[in-house]
Amino acid sequence: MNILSTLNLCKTYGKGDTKVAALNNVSISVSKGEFVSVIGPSGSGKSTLLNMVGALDQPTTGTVTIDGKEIHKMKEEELSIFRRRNIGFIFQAFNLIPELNVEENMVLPILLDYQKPDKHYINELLGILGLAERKQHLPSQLSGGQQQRVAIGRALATKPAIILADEPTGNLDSKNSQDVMNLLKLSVDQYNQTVIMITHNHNYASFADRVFQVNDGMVRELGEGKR
Amino acid sequence: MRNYLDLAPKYLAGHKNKTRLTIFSVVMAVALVVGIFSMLDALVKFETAQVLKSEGNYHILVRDPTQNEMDIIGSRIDVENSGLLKDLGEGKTNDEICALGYISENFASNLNIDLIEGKMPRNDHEVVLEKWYLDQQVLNSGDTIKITRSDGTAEDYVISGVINDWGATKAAAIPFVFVSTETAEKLTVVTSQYFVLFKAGVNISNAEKEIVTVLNIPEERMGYNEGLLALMLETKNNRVLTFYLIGAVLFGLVLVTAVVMIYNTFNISVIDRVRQFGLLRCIGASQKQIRRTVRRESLIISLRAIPLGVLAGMLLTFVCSAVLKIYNPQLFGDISIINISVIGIGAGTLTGFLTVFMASMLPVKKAAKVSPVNAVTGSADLKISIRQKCGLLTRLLPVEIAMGVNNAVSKKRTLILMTSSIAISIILFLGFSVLVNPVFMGIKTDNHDTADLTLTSEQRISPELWQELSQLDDLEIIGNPTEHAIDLQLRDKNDNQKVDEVKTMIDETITLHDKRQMNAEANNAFMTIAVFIYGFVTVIALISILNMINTMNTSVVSRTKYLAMLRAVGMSDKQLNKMILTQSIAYSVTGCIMGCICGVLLQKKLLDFLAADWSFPLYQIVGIAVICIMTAALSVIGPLKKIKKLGISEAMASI
Repeated sequence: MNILSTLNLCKTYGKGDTKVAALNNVSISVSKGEFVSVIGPSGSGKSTLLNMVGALDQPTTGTVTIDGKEIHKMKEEELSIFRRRNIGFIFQAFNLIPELNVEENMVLPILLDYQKPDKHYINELLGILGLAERKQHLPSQLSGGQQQRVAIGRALATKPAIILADEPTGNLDSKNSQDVMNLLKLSVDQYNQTVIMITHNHNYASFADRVFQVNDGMVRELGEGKR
Repeated sequence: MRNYLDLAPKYLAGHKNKTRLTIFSVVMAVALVVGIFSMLDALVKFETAQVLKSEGNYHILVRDPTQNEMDIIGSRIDVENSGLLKDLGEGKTNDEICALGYISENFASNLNIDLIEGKMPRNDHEVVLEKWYLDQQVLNSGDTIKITRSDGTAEDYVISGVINDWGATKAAAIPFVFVSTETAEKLTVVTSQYFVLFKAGVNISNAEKEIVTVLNIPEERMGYNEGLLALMLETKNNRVLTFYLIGAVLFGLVLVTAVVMIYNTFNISVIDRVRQFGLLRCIGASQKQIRRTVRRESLIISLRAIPLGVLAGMLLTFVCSAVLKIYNPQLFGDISIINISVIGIGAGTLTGFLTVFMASMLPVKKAAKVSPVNAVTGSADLKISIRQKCGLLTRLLPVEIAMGVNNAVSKKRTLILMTSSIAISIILFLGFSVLVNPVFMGIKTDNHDTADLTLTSEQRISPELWQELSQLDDLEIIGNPTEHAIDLQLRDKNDNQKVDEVKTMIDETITLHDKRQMNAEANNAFMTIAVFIYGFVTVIALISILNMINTMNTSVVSRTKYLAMLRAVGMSDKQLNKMILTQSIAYSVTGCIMGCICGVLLQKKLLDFLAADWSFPLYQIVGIAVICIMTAALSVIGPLKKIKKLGISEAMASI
């Protein structure tokens, strides 16, 4: 079953002479429980693709369907509700809320959805992520690897349809990068999550079930990864 | 944390420094509005007290009324009190000219004819006189005095009471003699005036129109207590309306200043907030939820800042009122110096609340415009201009100065808000200073050629008297004395001994006019307004300076990371000083130039409006420029110290 599919997706910026096609007729589909990685040089359109499939931006033409819903038909308010229930983000620079502690950072998306956090599930996540001892700590009191683990926890907390990871290992050393990759894989295996990961590292890209290469706004599948 | 709205207090607690600066700026803006409007309120109260003392407590008057008119007006339900004043012509007391008059007993105190001792005349043989005259004649209440009436008949009267001095009659050396109703009826009336005081809350112009139409009274017989009506905003006087218009413009500007001050502070850290809101949107916050969080924050800031601002504003008013009370205890002695002005507090609170709520939405709107992912990764921080940077500044100036200028100029909104918050204070300052101008207030001020005493005579005043007078200490002959009049000025206005000395030197052919009280009365009105307007100007200047220091502080604190980065790549402390100082001066000089241009134009416009002369306010502008630059320099000292104390790596890791 396709959790995500795009059809003839185009995104252009600017007008006239300064017109830039960031995405050009992109049609991809991702099934539930897949781990997909996206590689490509900077400026190739990776981030634009991420914005589109993350329901953060509307395409110029074409459609994006997530979990059976067409995104371009939604209004901004509807879109943000959709986003908080269906998309989990993980960034290169961690981007935790500096004023909130580990646990609060993790439950914030649930609170934004006016739900009660499932204590049991959160504690389980904290255990898996190795943060049980640090749930009262502020992000500034954590190492980079720990912060990224909190971000993974935050993305998993709402059990979203898709987790989007934008170079999640970009700011980490190899040991911590390995940890993060293992946790992402774990979330696919254990929680049947769908993960789309942008990366520069071909080695990590090959961790995925499938690899997409983006070049000048065009997307092509490189074939199966290691798994 | 139970609710996402708890983010608001947590954010504020997490950014103590920034929160404190924001609160301080709101406190100042609110204090400015509360202070200025409370002072305006107090000014109206003081002026009302003064008008009541100088003009009397009435609203309208009818000249030469008939008995029927008086009966009808007096019995109206909206009339609080009314009374008749008759001018019964000139008479003579002991062969000296006096003014005979009648005043209804119930209205005497409304016209400030107050009994000091005794009682008002009740029968055909009683009169009351002014104290200064009785003192001069060494008479007391109960004594008998011979009065020649306007018809030439003379009779002895008993002095039934003593009334307070009137500045004008004292200066003219013609005392008032008030007679009883009975006596007044026997005398020819020169003119009479029927004074009417309406009840509080009555629509005076409607009531007056009704009276005029019902009784068919021609316009020329109607008179108005212009001063009082003006203060009650019931005036039809064009000059007063012009004055009000100017006031409205200036007080409108005060509100704008407060708004700009708050906006400016919120704008400084807008980029941090855009990033934060982008992040929140990425993890699923809707625009509505972000707005709600920000509103919660605004509420917390408002609840902490506005009460403080109100208190500070009240304190400013208190100081101004206290100065007045100390300056003139007779006039303002009975007025409370603690003024709780509903208008002032209301205006301040409302402005504070609304502006904080609106200004805090600034980053929300900005964040809505950029894609959340871009906001988070910071790629939307700088709009790259289409024009290529030519690096002209760096070629002309040392790099740190070029960077300072560039920092100030590159962010347009910040530049606009920074400079306009400085400029608008200057405009206010120049605008308000227009009001301290006695020329168009129609009030004579105490200057060097105002006579305290004047000697006049029908016959020639002998040159010997000039000689004698000029030899007296602490007394000066001013102007050009003529054979019929000599103007004298006392060094000490309260030197009654000297006045007595002059009295002994003159004979019966010369009349001494004591003008001191009249001068003082005219002066008071001017001084009250002047004290208040200097109060306004001081408050504006003080708050502007504090605001600029606070703003620079906020601006440096919000760029801690950036500055640490510059230091990390090799900027020395000295260069850092120069760069930040350049930036601060760039803001203040731009603001100063804009403020001076607009302020001078406003000043000229206002004075044109008042048909008064305008001259280029050179001293004011030089003063403003000096203060601006000094404040700019002063304002960077604190934040620079703080930055340098923080280790580079520490600062880089923060935020």
